Amino acid sequence: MTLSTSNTPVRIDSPGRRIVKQFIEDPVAVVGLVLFVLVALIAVAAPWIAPQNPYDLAQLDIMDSSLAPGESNFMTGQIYWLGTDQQGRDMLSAIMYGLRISLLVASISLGLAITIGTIVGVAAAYFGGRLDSFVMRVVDLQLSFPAILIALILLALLGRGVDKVILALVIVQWAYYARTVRSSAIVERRKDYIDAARCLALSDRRIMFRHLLPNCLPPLIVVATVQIAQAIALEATLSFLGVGVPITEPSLGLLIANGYDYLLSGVYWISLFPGIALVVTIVAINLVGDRLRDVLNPRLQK
Amino acid sequence: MTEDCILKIDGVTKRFSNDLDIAERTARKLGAKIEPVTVHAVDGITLDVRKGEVLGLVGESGCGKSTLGRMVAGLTPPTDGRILYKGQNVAELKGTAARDAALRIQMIFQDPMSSLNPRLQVRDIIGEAPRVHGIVGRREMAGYVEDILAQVGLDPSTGKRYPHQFSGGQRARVGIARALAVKPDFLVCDESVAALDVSIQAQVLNLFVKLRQDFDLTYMFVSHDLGVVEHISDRIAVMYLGRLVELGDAEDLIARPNHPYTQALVSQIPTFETGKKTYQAIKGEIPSPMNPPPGCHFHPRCPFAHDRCRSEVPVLKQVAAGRMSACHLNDSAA
Repeated sequence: MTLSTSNTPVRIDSPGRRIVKQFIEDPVAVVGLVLFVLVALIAVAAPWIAPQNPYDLAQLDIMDSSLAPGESNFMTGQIYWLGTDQQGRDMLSAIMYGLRISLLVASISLGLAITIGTIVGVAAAYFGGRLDSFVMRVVDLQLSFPAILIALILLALLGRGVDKVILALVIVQWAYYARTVRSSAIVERRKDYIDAARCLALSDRRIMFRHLLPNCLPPLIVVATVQIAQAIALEATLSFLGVGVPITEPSLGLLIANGYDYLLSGVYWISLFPGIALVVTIVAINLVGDRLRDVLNPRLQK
Repeated sequence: MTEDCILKIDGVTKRFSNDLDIAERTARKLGAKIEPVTVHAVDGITLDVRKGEVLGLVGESGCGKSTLGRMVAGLTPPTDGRILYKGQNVAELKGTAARDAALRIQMIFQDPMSSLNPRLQVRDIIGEAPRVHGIVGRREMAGYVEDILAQVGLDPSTGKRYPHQFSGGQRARVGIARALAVKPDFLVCDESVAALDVSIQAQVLNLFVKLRQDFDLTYMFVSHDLGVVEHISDRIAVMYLGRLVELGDAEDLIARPNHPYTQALVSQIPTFETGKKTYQAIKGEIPSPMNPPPGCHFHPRCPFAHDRCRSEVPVLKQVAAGRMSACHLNDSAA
C-alpha cells in the first residue's frame, strides 16, 4: 500500500449501502418489508381510503348488523367485503382504523422506550460504578416479571385510554433497550477511540452520544424490530382483555374481542379478519427483523 | 534540570484494587479469609521529562509502563503522587485551564483501528476537537484538516473516507493527525508502532522525528521494543514491575547498561554482528504484580542477587553523569 493515496480510486461503500445490498438478497425479508410498508400505508391513509368511518355512528345502519362478507347494504348497495359486526360496522374500515390505532400506539411507545432505554443504557455503561449497578438491578427486577403482568397491573391502576396504554408499554419495554445498549456500549467503551476522545477533552455528553451511541446501534435496531412486533401483540392482548384502548377507538385486539362472543354462532368474520391483519403485521415485522439481525451481525460479515 | 523540565512525574503510584462485592464482604464478616486484591501497577516513580526530548520508556509487558503513560495523558488518575505539567499539578486545575492543559498533552494509541471511531469520517475525527474547543473556526475547518493530513503524509482528499478504508500505517497517521489538531506540545506514544509492519514502523518513526522538529514536540515513547526506543529516544527509562530501575542517555545506556535487568534486556537486541551469538533469556517469569517479591523486585531473576537484595528496596541513585540506577551492586562497588 502506498503512503499517498491520490492515485488509488476512492471506493466509498458506506455501511448503509452494504446493509441495503445484503438485505435485498433475501426474498422472504423483502416480502416482509413490502407487506409491512403496505400495512403501514393502509394505517396512515385509513381516513381517506376506508369505505366508511367506523367511529361515525351516523354512518352505521343497524339493519346491516352481522352481514356476512360480500353482502351489501340494501339501501345504498355498498358492498361489505369483509362483512359487518353486530353494530353494522364495515369490518374492512374497522380493520383499517384499528391498524391505525395499533401501529400508532406501538410506534409512539417504541420511540419513547428507545429514547429512555438508550440514554439510561449508554450512561450506565459510560459512567459505570454505582449508577451502572443501580440501573441494571432495576432492569433485572423489571425483566423478571412477565411484560403482560406489569402492563395489566399498571392499566388496572391507571384505567383505560390510548395514552395510558402507551405509558404502560413504555414502562414495560424501556428495560430491553437499556440492557441491549448497555451491553454493546460496555464493549465499545473500552476501545481506544473513547480514550482518545477523553484525551481530546470532549464533554461526557458528546462522547456518549456522538462516539459511543452510534457504535451501539446495530443490536438496538434488531431489538427494536422484535420489540415493535411485541408491542403490537401486547397492545392487542391488553385490548382483547378489556384493559387497553377505549371501546370508542377500537384497535385490532378490541375488534377481535368484539367478535369473540359470536365466533361459535357462525359469525366468524368479526374476529377472523382483524386476527389475520394482526398476524400479517407481526409476521412481516419479524421477517424484516430476522434479516436485519443477520445483516447487522458483525460476526456474519465477510 | 528544572528550567527545561516540561513534565515532572513526582512520586506517582497507581494501585488497582478490586473491591469486595456484597457476597464477599458477608463471607469475610463470617470469618472467611478474603482480602481485596491490590495490584501495584506503578510504584512511586519520579521522573523529569525535558522540553523537546524524546524519553523512551521500556519494560516487559505488565511492568506498568502503559499505566504510567495513561496517567501522564490524564486518562487514569494516579493513586498517589503528582504529575506537574510546566509546574502545575494537572489534576488540580479547573475549568478552561484544566481543558487547555489536557489538550497540551495528547496520546497516540497502539491499535490504529480501535483508536479511530469507525462511524466518523476522517475529517470529523481530526476536526471535531479543534471545532468544539474553538481552536479553528467553522470556515477554516476544511483547510485546517487538509493541512494536518498533509503534515502527516496523507493525501488531503482522504478526509472524506472512513477508518476502515485505510491501511494500518495510514490509520496510524490519522491517529497522529487527530492528536496534532489540538496543537499539543507533549505526546505520549503508547506502543504506537507495535501493531505495524516493520517497514511501516520505520516510516511512522521517521514521521515522529519530523513532527518533533516541525512542531517543537516532546515525546514520551512507551514501548517494549528496545530497538525502536533506541532509534528514536534521547533518554531511556527502564521499568521493571512498577518501578524505575535505570535512567540514562539512550546511546550510553545501551552501550553500558548498569542495572542487571537493563543488561539482560540490552543483550537481547538483535544485531547484525556475524558469528554465533547465544541468546540467554532472562531466567524465570516476571513475578505477579499482585504479590511482588520483597526488596529489589528483580532479585528472583537476577544472577548477582545477594541477601540485601531480598530485604531492602534499592533506591534510584546517580551512578554517573546523567545516569541513574537502582541497584545495590553500585553501593558495594563504591
